[in-house]
Amino acid sequence: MPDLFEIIFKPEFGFTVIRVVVPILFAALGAYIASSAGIGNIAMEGTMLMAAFVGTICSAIFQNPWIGLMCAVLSGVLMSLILTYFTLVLKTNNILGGIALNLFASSFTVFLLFIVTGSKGTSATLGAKTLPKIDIPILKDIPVLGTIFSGHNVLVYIMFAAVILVYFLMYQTPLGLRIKAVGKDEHAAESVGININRIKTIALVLSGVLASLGGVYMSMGYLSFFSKNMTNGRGFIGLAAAAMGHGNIWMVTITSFLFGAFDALANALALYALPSEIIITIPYVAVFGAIVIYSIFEWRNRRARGEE
Amino acid sequence: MLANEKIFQAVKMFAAVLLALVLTFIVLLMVSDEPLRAFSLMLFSPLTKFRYFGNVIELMIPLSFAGLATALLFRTRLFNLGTEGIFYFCGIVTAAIATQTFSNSTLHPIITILISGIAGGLIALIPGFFRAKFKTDELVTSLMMNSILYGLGLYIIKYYLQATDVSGVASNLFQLTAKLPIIIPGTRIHSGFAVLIVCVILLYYMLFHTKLGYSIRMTGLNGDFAKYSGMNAFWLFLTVHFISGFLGGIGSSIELLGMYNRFQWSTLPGLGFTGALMAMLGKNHPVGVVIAAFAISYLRTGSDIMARSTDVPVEIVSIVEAVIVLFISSQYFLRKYHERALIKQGGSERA
Amino acid sequence: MNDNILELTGITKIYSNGVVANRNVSVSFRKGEIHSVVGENGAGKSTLMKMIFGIEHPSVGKIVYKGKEVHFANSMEAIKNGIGMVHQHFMMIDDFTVAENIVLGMEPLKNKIFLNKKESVRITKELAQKYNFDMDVTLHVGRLAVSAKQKVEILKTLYRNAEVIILDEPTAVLTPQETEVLFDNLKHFKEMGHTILFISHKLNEVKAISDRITVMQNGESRGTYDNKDITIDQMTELMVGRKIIMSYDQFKEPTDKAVMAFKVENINLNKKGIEVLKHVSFGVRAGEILGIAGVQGNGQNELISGLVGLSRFNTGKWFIENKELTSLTIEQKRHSGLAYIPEDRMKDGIAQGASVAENLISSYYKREDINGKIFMNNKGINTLANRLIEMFSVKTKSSKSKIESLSGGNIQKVVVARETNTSPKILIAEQPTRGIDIGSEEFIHHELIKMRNKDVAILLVSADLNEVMEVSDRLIVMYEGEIVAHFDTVKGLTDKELGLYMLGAKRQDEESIRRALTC
Repeated sequence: MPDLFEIIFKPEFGFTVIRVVVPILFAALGAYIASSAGIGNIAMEGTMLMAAFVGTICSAIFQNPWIGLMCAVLSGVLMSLILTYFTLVLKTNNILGGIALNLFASSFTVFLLFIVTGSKGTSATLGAKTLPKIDIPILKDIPVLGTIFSGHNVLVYIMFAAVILVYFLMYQTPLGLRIKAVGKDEHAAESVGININRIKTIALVLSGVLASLGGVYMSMGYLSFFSKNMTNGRGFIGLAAAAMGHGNIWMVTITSFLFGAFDALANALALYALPSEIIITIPYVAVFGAIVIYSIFEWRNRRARGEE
Repeated sequence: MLANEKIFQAVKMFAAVLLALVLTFIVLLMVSDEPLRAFSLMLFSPLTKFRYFGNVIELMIPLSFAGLATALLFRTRLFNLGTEGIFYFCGIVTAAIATQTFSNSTLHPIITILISGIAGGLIALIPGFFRAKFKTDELVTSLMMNSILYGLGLYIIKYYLQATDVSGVASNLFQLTAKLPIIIPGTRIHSGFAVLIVCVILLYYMLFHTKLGYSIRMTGLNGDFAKYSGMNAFWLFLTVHFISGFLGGIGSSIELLGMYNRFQWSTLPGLGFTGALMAMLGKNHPVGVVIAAFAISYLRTGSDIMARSTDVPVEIVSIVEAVIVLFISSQYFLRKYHERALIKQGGSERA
Repeated sequence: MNDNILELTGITKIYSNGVVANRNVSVSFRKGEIHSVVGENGAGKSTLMKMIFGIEHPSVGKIVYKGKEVHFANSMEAIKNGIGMVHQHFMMIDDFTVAENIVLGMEPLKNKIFLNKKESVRITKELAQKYNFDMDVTLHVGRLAVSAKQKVEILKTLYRNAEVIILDEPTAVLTPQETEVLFDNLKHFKEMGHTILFISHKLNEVKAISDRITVMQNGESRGTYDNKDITIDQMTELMVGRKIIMSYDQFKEPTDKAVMAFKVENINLNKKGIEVLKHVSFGVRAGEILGIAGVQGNGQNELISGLVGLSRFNTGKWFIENKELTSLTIEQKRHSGLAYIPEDRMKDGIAQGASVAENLISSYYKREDINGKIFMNNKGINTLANRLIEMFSVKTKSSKSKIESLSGGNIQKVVVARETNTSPKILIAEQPTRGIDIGSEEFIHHELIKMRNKDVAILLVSADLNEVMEVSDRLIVMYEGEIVAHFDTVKGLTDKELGLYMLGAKRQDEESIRRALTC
């Protein structure tokens, strides 16, 4: 049994945490915006998977990862618009609609994968270009910090920027105020002339864009190809992180990193002789435990207020 | 005519299916060299041979069980997708018992199925308990549990049940005493079909003719109202989760004992997730679920046969499924025609 | 060009469930007048206003605003054109400050992108001063009293330069004293050139404030009159087609009131450091109706929801006869003889999507007469449902119809029928007639009195002063979570005097208040 501290307190572990947190944090940011507008975007997972697929395929077709990225984002917007159409216009329950879209994405990507590559497993044969890694000048030469923060995929830095941007959006702009207003009380928002459906659509599209960035990272950063169901629940982990952040973007970010750390831990432990079947469950056990603990706290708060 | 609610629902269903098929055909036009043949195979091939039609029923059995398990949860407004993990894990429970020697070939499958069902029920109680007691989001916990159960199951198979004579994930062969008998010669339709019919009837009566069913339905429609009326959500959620897990467990067991010779799922089988589709399509009604399972099995069997002889993969069926489900579960699809018909009638009298 | 700022012609509104809310209504509003629209609950006043404001859209008919026909797609367009509305239920976000609530949707910016939070505070402060409203705009709205919230609502419309201000039942939540202040404000607005559309069913108020009055009945207009040309009696007749009985005394039979059926002792509740309920004690005897009066938000909701078991108190005990209910489950409380007509019937009182019959049995669905050994007795349920539907003259196609296809008044009758059918010892009725038509209202009042005559104890909570005063035998007043007054009889009590207690301006001595429990 390796010494746990030895694993965790290496700068390389910090690097891995950042490497694995990307899809989770993008998903969490997206879910955070959607839930601020009062919608649980359950389709996060499917949107990510679709983007992971579209990104790498378009990158292969155009032999340009940036075009791949753009197409992936477009697919994210499209998925969100489909969800928007069904939940806002046709009044489908958003959870049911989300579940349907996830199942659809899961098999439809396999369908397209087969059409494009003739394989139902991965797109590795296509040799798609991935997004570049970036060494940060100066920072890369600082001992520990350089190891942790430099040399990541460009999407890692886009992720950090996204946290800041989402903060400004939600806390410092009229759009953010309106999104929150719609989420807290639709009727109140409507009474001052806010177009609720428009705000919700914007929120869902933004969450789709963020989800697609997380997805495209899976196939063009984390790995260099698409494989069946490769998001593997990360969208839902992001959803859990957003729920536990309780409408506070910093809490959402911290929770995502916490989950990322467990993911990284599983990665690190898998290198040792432990049964890998058990190790791979660590991140899921962590999320399960965290959301249970969180709900117990909430329950105690409700009890203290006499509500239960 | 559209003012009549039932007729309107039927028209809506028909329109959704039609729309889905048109979309599928358009996709076929784009991806296939022989779209017409592919399309007609997909739609009609299950009717061409008795054995093919048997395939439809065979597939319908596990889909129905998964659908019933999920529908019961959805009815209670519990968005739990844990049937997938339960299907997988109870398959391992089944393998553990079905590979043991047992003298009685009537009791062996019954015991296997029952234990598997109880295991499923107990597993479902975990997210169920946290939901009931602390309002823990069951969608997230159940999805996490799917992944956990998968890892755990794989571990058990690998270290305790792995067959020595085959490579890859597989248990030893099930004992012949454990297998379910085939009830319609010329097909592989097994006695699990009869169990399914019994379950549907029981569930129907439970849901619409017992106090438990009444409290499930009221809680699902309006939880505040149920609480106000004095119903105990805690025990209800536990009960519903147990029954749902039980249905998932026996569904998994029946599928394995009826259709397989050994446990060999190396990934999550996907049946549990499909159960969510069945529940939505069947409007969370036991009979509706079975009809939905039949329709989807029919399409999947058709697609499967098509995939074998054309250049189109079986996953094309996902387009039909998603489109139908999305439109069926939307309240406002075609609604304006319904409303126009109502307005033409002049509106009901104001009370 | 005439001096009408707004004209409605031939407006008909049919909802998607087939309910007709307005039929062929034509009214015109003059610039700079206070124009009241009166009618009983359910007469279609609110729907008509929502159509002016763009929230609802007429099925037939046209709206002409400032000489041009308009089709407001949503409230945004109405607001842009200078129409503002203060809704009956406040439309504010409790977690936002007063300033944020006011500027929401039209926020002042800095650098063209970002919110200018300082400027929002400055502008809203100025606005409040200009219209003689005195308030701290940096407070969170959730912490304001009802009358202050209403002021914020009015400021919201003024911030958007509303020329026409629609006020939907603004006085329903106010005490008589607060109403006077509001009327002074409204007159001030009129002087400044605003047009006021005042929606109410309280005729004396309408008479006091209006220039012109439009009477609505059953979705239709019964004509527009100059204030001086119509008396309250005439309005009443137009509104309901008959006179309303103002007292139910004649229907009350003498009861011996020997048994203390329901007793509440020393309830306290502290929420996040705020004392919501303080030393609340009272008793209700079998065969009497105890009314609880008070401005909404003074602890009544918390008191009732705790008593029936939907939430908890910090301390306190309560009993039916001598049986303590305090720590029993809701089911056990109901079993002990508690019945409850909830304030929010759509949220707590019914299950939408279920049939009328299913909604009629929920609080006693385990009872023997509707159950067999294993299965529920569907025949028994239907017989019971049909009997209740007939007894309460619930207007429904059949007992199998979906509950949501019924009108508000009939849904409430279903709730009342169900709760009275549990043969309770204590019936708690919370706002039992809010927002329903006059026919159903009267019917329900009679039903409560019938129960009282059969020796049931009734606790009636209502923000509607008329209701508590008409129906109750005894009365208590709640203010800031405390009982501040107890009246052995409502005879001779004026609403002015009650208002003083409701506002906390007056308070009885401890001895009199204690009589709420011991009398």
